[in-house]
Order: sequence, then C-alpha cells, then structure tokens
Amino acid sequence: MKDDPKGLGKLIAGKLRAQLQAEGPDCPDVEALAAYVDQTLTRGERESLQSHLALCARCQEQVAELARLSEAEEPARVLVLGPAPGRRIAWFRWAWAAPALVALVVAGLWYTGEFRPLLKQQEPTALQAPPAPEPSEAPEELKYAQAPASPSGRKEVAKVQPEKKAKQEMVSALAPSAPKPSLAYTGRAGGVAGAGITTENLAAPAPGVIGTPSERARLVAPAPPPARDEAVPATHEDRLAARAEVPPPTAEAAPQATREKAGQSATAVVGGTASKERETLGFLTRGVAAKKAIVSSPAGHWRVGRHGLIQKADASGNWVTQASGVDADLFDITFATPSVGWAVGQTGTLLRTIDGGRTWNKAPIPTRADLILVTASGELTAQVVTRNGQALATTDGGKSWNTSSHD
Amino acid sequence: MASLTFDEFFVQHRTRLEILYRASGAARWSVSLEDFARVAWQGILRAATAEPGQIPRLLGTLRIEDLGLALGCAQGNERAWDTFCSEYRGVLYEAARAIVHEEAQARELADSLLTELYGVDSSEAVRSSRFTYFHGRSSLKTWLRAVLYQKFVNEYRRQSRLVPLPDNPDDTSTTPGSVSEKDDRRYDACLSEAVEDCLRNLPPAEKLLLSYYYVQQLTLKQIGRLSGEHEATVSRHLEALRKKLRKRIEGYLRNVKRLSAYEIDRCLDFDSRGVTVELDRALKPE
Repeated sequence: MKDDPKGLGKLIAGKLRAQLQAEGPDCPDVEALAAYVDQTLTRGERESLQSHLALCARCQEQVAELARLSEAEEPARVLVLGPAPGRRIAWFRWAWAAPALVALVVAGLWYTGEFRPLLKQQEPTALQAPPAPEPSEAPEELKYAQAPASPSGRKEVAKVQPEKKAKQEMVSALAPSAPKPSLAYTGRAGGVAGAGITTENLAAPAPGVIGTPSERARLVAPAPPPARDEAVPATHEDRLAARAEVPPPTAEAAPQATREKAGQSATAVVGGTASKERETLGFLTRGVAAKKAIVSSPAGHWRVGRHGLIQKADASGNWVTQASGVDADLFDITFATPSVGWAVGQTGTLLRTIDGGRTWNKAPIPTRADLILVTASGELTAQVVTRNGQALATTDGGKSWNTSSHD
Repeated sequence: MASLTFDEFFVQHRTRLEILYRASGAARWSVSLEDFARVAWQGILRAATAEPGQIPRLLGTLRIEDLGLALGCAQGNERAWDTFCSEYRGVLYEAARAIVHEEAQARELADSLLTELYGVDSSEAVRSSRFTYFHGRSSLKTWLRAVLYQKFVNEYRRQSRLVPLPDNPDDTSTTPGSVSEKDDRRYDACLSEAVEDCLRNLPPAEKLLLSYYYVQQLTLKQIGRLSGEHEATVSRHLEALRKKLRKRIEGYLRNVKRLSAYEIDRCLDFDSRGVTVELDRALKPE
C-alpha cells in the first residue's frame, strides 16, 4: 500500500490480533467456509459469515489458507505430459510391456524398409511416412507419455504407452500414407490403416446404444470408469481438453464420463485448428453443472460453445459448424428425436430445430436469464433451467412456457 | 418461520430436483433421487429456513456433479470411489504438501483423510464416510482442502501464525532517559489507543479486509479470491480504507486525546522519531 508506514501497519496488525478470539462459539462448518471461498453463499449467509470471520482467529486462518491453496493450484491450461500421481500404478503396470513394445516398433520399421520398393510398385502415388500422431488425434495417449526430451523421444513415448496404442502406431507405420488426420478414422480401401485404426483405439470404452428419446442422464451417461490399463487424464482440464480434441466416436456409443465442472472453460482443439477456435469452444457457466462438451443424441453428436457456436460431428469425425443465427454463448443442446432439437444459452437464448440441426430458429421464452440446461422428452415437450434455478417447461413446442409449480 | 420438512421440500420442488438429479449423473453411482434430494435439502436447509423464496436459487448454486460423486462414495459405490481417487487424490496430495511442506507428513495426512473419506469404522462394522458432511454448497475440491487443513490443525497442532511479540521485562521502566523519549512514549500510547478504538468500531467487512492483509498477510490476489474481486479493486479498497482509518485516528487524537496538529503529526510520523517504537506494550492484549 502506498504511504503506509511499516510501524502503523504493525500496529494495526497487533491490534486486530488482540481483538480476535481464538475460536468463536458459533463457528460454521467446514462446508460453509468452503462455500464462502467458492462464492456460493447467499448474501445473507455471506454477511453473517464475514461478521464471524472478523472476530474468529481459527476460521479466519482457515479461510486464508484456502485462499493460498486456491491460488497455488491455478495451473496453466496445457496438456500435462506425464502421469498424474494417481496414475503411477497404471504406468507401472505397463512397464513390463516396454521391451515388447520396442520389439514391435523395430519390427514394424524393419518391415516397412524391407518391402518399401514393392509397395512403391503397387501404389502409383508417392507414399509418405505416416505423420506423427497429432494431439487432435490421440491426445489421451500423449497425456500418459513422458515428455520426450531427445530426438528418440518418440520411441521413449512408445515405451510407456498402452500396448493397444503402440499397436495402432505400428499399423500406422505400415500403412500407406494418410495425409489427412481424418482419414485415420475412415481408413483407405485396401489399406492396413483402415483396418487397424478405429475410434475405439482413441476413445475410452463407451456405453451401449442410446436410441430412445433424450433424457440427459442416459444420453450423456459416461462410460464406465476406464480400465486400469487405460490412462485417465491427469487433471480435469486435461480431460476436458482431451475429450474436445478427440473427434467424436463414430461408433454408436456416447463419449466418456461427463464430469465437467461448473465455471471452467473447456479448452478444445478441433482437428488441430488454431487456439482461437479453442477459446470459442469454452464454457463459462457456473451453478448447475449441466454443461457437456459433447452431447450424443438421436441426431448424432453435437456440441455448443461461445458466440452461438453449434457443431455436429460428421461421419468422418470432423466437427461441422451449423449456423445458429445468434451471437450469444450457448450452454446446452439436446435432441428429442433425430429432427427436433433445442439449444440454450445466454440471456434467454433459446433455439429450436426441426430439421435435424440444419437450421436453427430462435424461439421465444418468458425470461432473460441465462438458460444453462435443456432437456426434451418429445417433439413438443422440453424443459429448461435458468442460472438462478428457475425451471420452465413447454408441451407445445415452445409456443408457451410454464414455470414449475411453487415457483 | 417454520422450517421446511423434507417431504414438503421434495414435493414442492420435485421437478427441479429431477432435472438436477439427471444433470448430476448421480444415477451412475446408484444414487437414488430421494437420497440426492435429501442431501441437497440438508445443504440448503439453513439458508432456506431464513429465506424460503430463495430455494430455487439455492438449488441452482449446488455443485450437483460433485454432490452426486460424493454421495456415491458415501454409499460405498466402488466406481464412484475409483473416479474420486483418479480425480482428487492428486489434489489432496498437492494441498497436503502446500500445508505441511514435508513430503512424508503430507502424504500421511492425505492418506489419513482418504481413509476417513472412504469410511472405515471397525468398531461397529458400519461404514461412515466423511463424505456425509458434504452437501454440494461448495466445490468438492475446496471442501476437501478445507477438511484437510482442519484435520491438520486438529491433529498436528501446527504452530499458530499468530506469533506473539517477545516480552520486554524492561518495558515497565517509567523514567525515560530524555524529554523526547518521554514524548515518544506518550505518542505511542495515544496512537495505540486511537488505533484500537477505530478498529473496534469498523464494520465487520472492513475489519476483515484489514485482517486478511495485515494479520493473515494475504496478497491482494488472494484477498480478491475471497471477495470475488480483482486484485486492483482490492488494492483500491485497501487504500480507501487506510485513508479512512487514518482520518478517524487523527480525529480521535484531536478530539479525545486533545493533541495539537503538531503532536498528531508526530504521532503518525514513525520514521522521524529516533527512539524505537516500543510496540510490544501497545500491542499487548487487554
């Protein structure tokens, strides 16, 4: 502080300490202190707690420590190349496979070198060495590898990767070139790559088919927790980034567990595009955490984001942007049937489609609050939840909305 | 106002609770709607009793995904526990290291809490998880840190940050060596009394802000984290508060202690006073 004599500061500190009680008679529980730090208390609760904190040394010290811990925890939003502490067990379990993986890679390289002239005779076009896996193709695997520190880092990376992934890389090395990452998913006719690379190699195991009209829990029901031999992202931000970076599974299963936290942005790269698009796919909602990076529905895989972003995954696994006609941030999307769907967002933004998402029309709703959650059980019935907890429902396709009883 | 019973709460807000329940994904941990609703009700009961009209908003502030996971763990769902460990074990270890600053002790602290969270009660063979105390009012991460720190304070009796000032047995001397020293002691006493009186009459929020800065020695950014403000805003608030405090101190010295303008300046001018300010006497608790 400017012009703050150290002597006066020390005097103030001493006097404040003297006025503090070691422990107040009505100390709040731990959850209340945590909620205070998270800014989720009501105004009345907050004022009451502040009055207590001003006089209670014990609670004041605890809150101060939480503030220090929260600040220390703020990481940069980057992929973590390395196993989380909790994942040491999974890494260690695969350590025995390192020699086998090395042998497989060497054999693959040898095979390629041996038959390269023969392959050139069969394929008129020049063959290129398959590109190294890009983050957009297999970010999850990168997470579990040590950061390569040498030119041979890629081999070192292979040592620690699950056997499944190493096998996939070997197949890639054997296959004719696939210049576009998307081809890795569709494969090439007659090419080994097409046979070997599937989204199963890239995505976690997923639940079964969901063919009934959308109910959010089932649609976005996550896969069972990944098996021990499959790594789990080190941090929640990594998992968000990984899920967003991986093109949606073309299989019939929903993507992995949706455990996005409220208030966090999902950083995403779409097929290796620039970081600007990464930002546009972030979520800024708080409160009811009904935000999913990828929504599976009868109409396919969808996701929404900032500035009116609506995207659908095509058969190749690429995200295709649909025109929403709005600039507001969108928070949720759902489809009741293959043709009828809803999207919601900031300041009462409500969009509806009746042609499977090709066109979206703004629908009226009697609220200007942020709409953070939408569910639909039929072509004409839907429910939305606002940021302040209000629930509205329609049974006539959005022509009229009713608040839930006792609002 | 009569408190709301759970049955009334469940009936009145069932639709909203169902939406929240579905959005939380609690079903994957085999948590029933009723269990979910009951815990949510417990979490907002106190606030809802005071402000029944705020129930929808209170429900909207719940961290429902965290709540679903914690409920699943509390009920002994192994998949929930696996998910919790994969996501939060690292958080606990990091927090423990930040608190304890010693690796072995930090790991022991974190593992001990994990055991309590898992729920082990060998005496009655009944699982009693510490997760039962989590109701979704805060994020699970912050709650875990708070519980961890509280456990540390309770179990390890960490040395308090309130380091007492050293006693000065010679402080009771009443005969100053010179006239200037005598004046300085008088100024110190007046200033000490003025500061104490002004701090006592401050509103709780302002007193808390000063405590965060001067007693807990938090940075502006950390204070901003608690107040929900940018650190620049916190800095402005502190500056304004400092000026307000100084003005009140001056007023007290002028009106109560009847000091002249020159004497007030001498009181507040620490640097010009050659004698070491004996703060220990001024700072002794009453």
